[in-house]
Amino acid sequence: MEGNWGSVVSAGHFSCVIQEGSTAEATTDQLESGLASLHRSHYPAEDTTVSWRIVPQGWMFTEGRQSSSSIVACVTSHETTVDERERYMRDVCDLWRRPPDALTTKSS
Amino acid sequence: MPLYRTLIKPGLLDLDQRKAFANDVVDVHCDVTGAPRSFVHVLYAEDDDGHLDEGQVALVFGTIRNGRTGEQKAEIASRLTTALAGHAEVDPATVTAVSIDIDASRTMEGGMLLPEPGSAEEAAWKAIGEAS
Repeated sequence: MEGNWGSVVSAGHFSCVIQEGSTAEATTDQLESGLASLHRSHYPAEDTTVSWRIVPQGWMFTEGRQSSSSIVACVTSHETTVDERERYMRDVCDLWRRPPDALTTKSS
Repeated sequence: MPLYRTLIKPGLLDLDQRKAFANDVVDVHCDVTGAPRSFVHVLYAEDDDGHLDEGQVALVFGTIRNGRTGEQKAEIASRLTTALAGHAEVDPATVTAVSIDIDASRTMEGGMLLPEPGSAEEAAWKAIGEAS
C-alpha cells in the first residue's frame, strides 16, 4: 500500500450512451482522451475509466422521436459542490460540442 | 432528464411499439409533472442477460428530478405500466415501473444545469425546453 502513495489515489468513471452513426460514435477515441484530460484538469490525483454503450437506431427516443442525444454519467470517488459540478458538466458539454477536427487536434 | 430506461424481454416490442410507448412516456411524464417534452428520454434494452425476474417481461426504470410527490410518482408508474402492457399485449402484472430521484444539480442538459422542481429558475428552463 505504501508504494501507491503519491500516485493515483482514486478514480472517476464515465458511462457514455451514444447513438449509432453519430459524430460521437465516430470520435469515441478522441472523446475518451478529452474526458480523461478534463477529469485530470479538475481532479489531478484521479485517473478515469470510460465505458461506451452504442444505441442502435430505434432504441432511444427523445420527445418521442429518434434521439440524437448522448448521455454522459460520471461517478467520482468524492463529494462535490454544486459549483464544482456545474463547471465540470459544462466542460463535458463543451467537449461534446467541439467539431470533430478540433477533437482530433486536441488529442493529438 | 428525465431518463426512462426500459428493459424488455427479447422480442417483446417492435419498433412501432417502442416508438408508441416512448410517446406515452412523454405524455404521461409531462402531464403529471409539467416538465418540457423535449427533455424526456426513453432508452430501451433487451434483457439478454436475464436480469428480469421470473414472470416479468418489462421493467421501466425512471430517473427523475428530486421533488416529485409520492402521488405523482405512483401515477406515473401506474400509467406507464398500463401503457406498456397495452402495447405488448401482456398482463400488466408482468410489467414493473419504478423511479429514482436525483438532485437536479447533478444533471446538466444542453449546457444548462437542471433547476429544482418549483424553483424560480424552472420557468426559464421550461421556456427553453418548449422553444427547442
